[in-house]
Amino acid sequence: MKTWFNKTVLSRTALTAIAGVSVLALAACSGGTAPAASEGASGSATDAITVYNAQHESLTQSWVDAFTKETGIKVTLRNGDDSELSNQIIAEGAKSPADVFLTENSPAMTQVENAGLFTGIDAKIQSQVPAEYRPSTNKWTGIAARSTVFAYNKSKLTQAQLPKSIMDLASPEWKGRWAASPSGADFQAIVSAMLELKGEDATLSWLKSMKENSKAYKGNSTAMKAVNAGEVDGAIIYHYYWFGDQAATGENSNNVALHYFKNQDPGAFVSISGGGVLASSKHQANAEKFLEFITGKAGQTILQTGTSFEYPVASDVAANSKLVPLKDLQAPKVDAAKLNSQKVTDLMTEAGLL
Amino acid sequence: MSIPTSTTAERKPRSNNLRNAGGGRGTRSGPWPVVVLCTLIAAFSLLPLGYVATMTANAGWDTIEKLVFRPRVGELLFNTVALVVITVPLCVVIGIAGAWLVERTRLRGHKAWAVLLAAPLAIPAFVNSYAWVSAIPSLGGVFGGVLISTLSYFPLVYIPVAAVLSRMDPALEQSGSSLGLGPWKVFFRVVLPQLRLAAAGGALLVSLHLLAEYGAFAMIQFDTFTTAIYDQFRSTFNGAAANMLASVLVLFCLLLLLGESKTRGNARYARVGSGVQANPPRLPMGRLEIPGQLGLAALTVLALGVPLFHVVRWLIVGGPGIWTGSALATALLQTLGYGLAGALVTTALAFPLAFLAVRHPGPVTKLLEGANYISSSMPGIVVALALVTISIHNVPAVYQTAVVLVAAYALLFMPRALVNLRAGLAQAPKELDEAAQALGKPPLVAFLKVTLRLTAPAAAGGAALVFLGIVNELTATLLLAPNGTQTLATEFWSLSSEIDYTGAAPYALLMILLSAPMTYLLFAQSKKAAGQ
Amino acid sequence: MTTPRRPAPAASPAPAFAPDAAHVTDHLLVSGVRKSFGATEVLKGVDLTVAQGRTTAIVGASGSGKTTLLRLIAGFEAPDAGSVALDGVEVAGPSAWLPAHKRSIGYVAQDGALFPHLSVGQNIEFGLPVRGRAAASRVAELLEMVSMDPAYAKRRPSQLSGGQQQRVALARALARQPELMLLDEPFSALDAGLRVATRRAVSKTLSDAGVTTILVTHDQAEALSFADQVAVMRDGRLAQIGSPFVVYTRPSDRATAEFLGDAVILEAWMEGSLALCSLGGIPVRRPSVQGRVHLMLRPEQIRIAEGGNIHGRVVDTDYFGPETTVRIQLAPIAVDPSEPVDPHQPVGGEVISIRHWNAMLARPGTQLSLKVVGEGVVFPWDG
Repeated sequence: MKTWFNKTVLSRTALTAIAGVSVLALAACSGGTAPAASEGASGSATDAITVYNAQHESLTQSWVDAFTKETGIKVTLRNGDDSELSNQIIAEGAKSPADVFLTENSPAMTQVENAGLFTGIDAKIQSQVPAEYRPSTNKWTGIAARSTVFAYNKSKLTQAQLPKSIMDLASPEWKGRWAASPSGADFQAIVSAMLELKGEDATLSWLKSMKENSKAYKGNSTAMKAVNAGEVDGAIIYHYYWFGDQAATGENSNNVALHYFKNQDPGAFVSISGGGVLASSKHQANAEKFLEFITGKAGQTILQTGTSFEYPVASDVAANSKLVPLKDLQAPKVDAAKLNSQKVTDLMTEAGLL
Repeated sequence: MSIPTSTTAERKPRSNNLRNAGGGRGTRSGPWPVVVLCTLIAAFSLLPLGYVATMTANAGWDTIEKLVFRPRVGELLFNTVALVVITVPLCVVIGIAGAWLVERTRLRGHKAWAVLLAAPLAIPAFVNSYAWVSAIPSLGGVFGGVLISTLSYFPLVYIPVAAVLSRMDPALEQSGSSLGLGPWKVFFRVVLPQLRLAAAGGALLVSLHLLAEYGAFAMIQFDTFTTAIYDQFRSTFNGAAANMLASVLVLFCLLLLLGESKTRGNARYARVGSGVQANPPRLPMGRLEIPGQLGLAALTVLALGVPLFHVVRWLIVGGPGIWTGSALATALLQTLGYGLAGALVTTALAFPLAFLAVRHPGPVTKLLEGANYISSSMPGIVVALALVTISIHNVPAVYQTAVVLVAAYALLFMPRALVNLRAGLAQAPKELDEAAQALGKPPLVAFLKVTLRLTAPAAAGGAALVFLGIVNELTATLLLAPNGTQTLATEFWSLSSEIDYTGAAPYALLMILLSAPMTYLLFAQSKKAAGQ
Repeated sequence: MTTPRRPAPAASPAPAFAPDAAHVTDHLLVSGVRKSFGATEVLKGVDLTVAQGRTTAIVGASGSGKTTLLRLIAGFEAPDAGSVALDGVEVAGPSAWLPAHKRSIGYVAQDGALFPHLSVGQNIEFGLPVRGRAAASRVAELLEMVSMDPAYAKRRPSQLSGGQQQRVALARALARQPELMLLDEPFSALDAGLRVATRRAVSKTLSDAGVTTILVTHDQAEALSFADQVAVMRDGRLAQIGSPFVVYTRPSDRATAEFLGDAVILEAWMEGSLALCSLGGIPVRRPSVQGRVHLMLRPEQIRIAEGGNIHGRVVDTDYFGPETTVRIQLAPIAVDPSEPVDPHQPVGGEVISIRHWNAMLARPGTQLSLKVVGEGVVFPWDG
């Protein structure tokens, strides 16, 4: 039909206009948001690197600021959770834009290692980090450590009423009295240790009781805040949330004290935060520099002196003096390489926690 | 925060049947490049639905059985259903009562109240939640979810209902009175039935927001499908469990759409005629004046006062220190950048759809619009999940680029642009284009100088609403943003998750400041559409 | 959807020769045009010739296809078959296609279609090839041409009355000095009083400018008063084309007769040039049929006359002020008992409506004498 002659011209204009506007808009957009756009072939010493960061943003940011100041290498962060980012790296495969992966806990590192995506750490890092804080495969390295604690409300529980083992929290007397952040990687790492130490059946039954007994919060800080407010008697979290809040205002932790399970209990689990360089990285050299920096004196000192209150694990840097020394924690011996995050997620899904 | 089309002013076609016949077949389905383009846009907008369907189909029955039929899903279902079943009627009652008070009574200060009742829309639900958690730290559960979402979303019912009330033909009420009905009976038997469409449209929007909201509920430990999907995502990236939960959520949305269309029956959203001179009667309040004032005051304190008070309180507690550092400026700039880019792209994509809908209504157009309607009801988490997976596997070139995020914004907010563009195009009838052609302008020039020019104000209005949506968007932005991206919403979220409430306060303030003018625009637009 | 777009003809549609005042040429030639929308055939073969400088009204009921025909002439639609030629140059047809903006036409739509975002002056300038001062003076000139104060140029279309909008639309269409002016129901949106005045002003402007004009309307009075030539459209075809007087007084069929005005239709028996009916024997010019027929008279042909030889009784009246419609029961046809009666012959005795200026004259029950002036028209009997 001939009418369409006109309409064709008309709609072509519309098309052109739309295409033009879209291109402009996207150009405007990516101009401000794609700092990695300058990526060239591998190489130059100042090439920016991308870090998939599951560590606390504030801690990694202090590392990054110091690192960039020292080397001039720019760092772009993508923040997320351990398993989210590990699964994302695996899904991205060889196309992953990540150069370095940092976690809070080791199961996610193991997952990426098992997928064969880490290139392995160099001799310098190996010399900086004691063997107990890195896997025997040397595919990645520990960068920091944190201890499981039972944070409790001082006015609700006496020393005598505290659980002797994390496993006790499954008993009916604890119904409705304790909290955790089951959707977070921290808690999932604790469960993975339990799985490794106590086996699948015991862990699943513990998780099912937990579903009955505990209150779920999003994030350890929120759980601690709930303990502080007396909404629950106690919570399974990591130690540094308490120290961090105490160092700041204490408004979310002043009624809270920490209980360390010790005795090689699954609840005394010390979780190793990991760092690794991706085999697919186009900036291997700079990525290794970053990891060397974190595990080096300067990087570990940030753990000692900063507000993170995590334990340093390398370069002979001691922990912040306020913390219970690592070796006094009587942590259970757990092989980081055996922590299975996938299984944990499945078990927690089965228990109805996820 | 788009408002149902009932508030849209669409001029009745001035032309007679003949002229429509003159529209003809060639034009009935539309010029083919536009039809093709629209089909592509519609296909694109069905991506999330297709993704969920494919994932479900591929999962196999065993996985579905294991991941869907389990107590956790039951809990989520209970929470989500309870939330919808309690919140929606509350929003409807509050919205209608509020609209009636400000539009139909001689309540003192009804003009000011009219604006104040729309204002809570300027406060993102997760900022509201942040304020309420500051006020009542133990807030949570169904009660918390209902409280926060009712206070955040009742304006979605109030605005369209108020618009209809203000333009309703008083003759109908007068005939009701002349048939011997008292004022209350007139309200229930004559007025209320006429509000059905607007209220149902508003209720649908509230329900869809309830299903899609993440931040507000995550902050108060209230688990719905959306928060659970996000938790799964954080544990497994895009695992099967997240996808199964998403498919249940999608099913939920489709049921709501179906329910709403049943409520609506065969009736269309009323179109606003240009000629109706509405001057609705106002009832004296009498003894009800004080309870009315108190009720509205209480509502405003809860929905507006509490969030503003706590944001300001945290700002004061934080002092000047929370304003330092470049993060705030970066987040503001990136938010503005994404807001503008998203608004432009969304408006551009909506244009051909609106063009077809207005100029060439027909079965093809209906189908395309229907596709868009369904896809726009998909929660942000589902859209994001779909785009993450599709981009990583099928279009790695755009993976983790602004393109994917802007595409998600377009999917989520297209209806806002569409509703406005449709109204705008209805003000630019084809006859004007033809008049320009008869004056010697080639169709291209005629289109640019007349149709595009006349549609510009409506397009700008639609773009502003899309912008508003993007500024407050959290879930899709968290999942899809390119590395290093920080928007006001994501930074606010990151800080408030670590209970750094003082640090989060400036972001909350900026989001409210950016949203306020858009909310006012929306309010003014609904009034204008109502012919005031 | 079947025809690919057509190449524009190399030649412009400019007239091949200057029209000579004495020599009336065919400005527009529409032949065998057909157009369907989906399964509906809207135009079923239309032929129409419009002479240079003349005014043609296409009149028809809603849905008859008249607007489609106008849009085809304008170039907003293309015919499925047949052709349209302007000044002898084919602009739409099997081998030619000239889009609207390249045809030398002016087009005024039903509501004027003024651009709401432009002032009156900018609207008129829209089609002008010149800008600046030249344009401004031309705008003033055009406004004066449509009897409007040039001061209106600064106003917005929304500040004008309906009639003013239509006149601005006309001025805008005239700005490009088109050779053919197409008016699509331009007066239908106006109320009755304004309609007549606007119509007269437009008509005068157009005839002063000497522009060939086609008016589409469903209003027969408008068509008859406005045009030199009336084309009656019915069901996708032109039922009759002729001067207003001819189509009104000698319609080609009963439907046309009834569409163009009130008609008195009586059973009659045609013998030679005389139709025998309740009103007696009525002369008919060149009757096409004999025997049983319908006879059509216009109500104004039947007059109340002292001593008239037709008798009737007033049934009732409708008072309209200046005139009154009088319904009259006629006496049956007088039969000569000595003659043999043809069983097909009409018996008469119908009730007819006529008009009269004096309402007092005709009270119900009054016996009146009538007479018939002029000739009748007969149509074949259709039961």
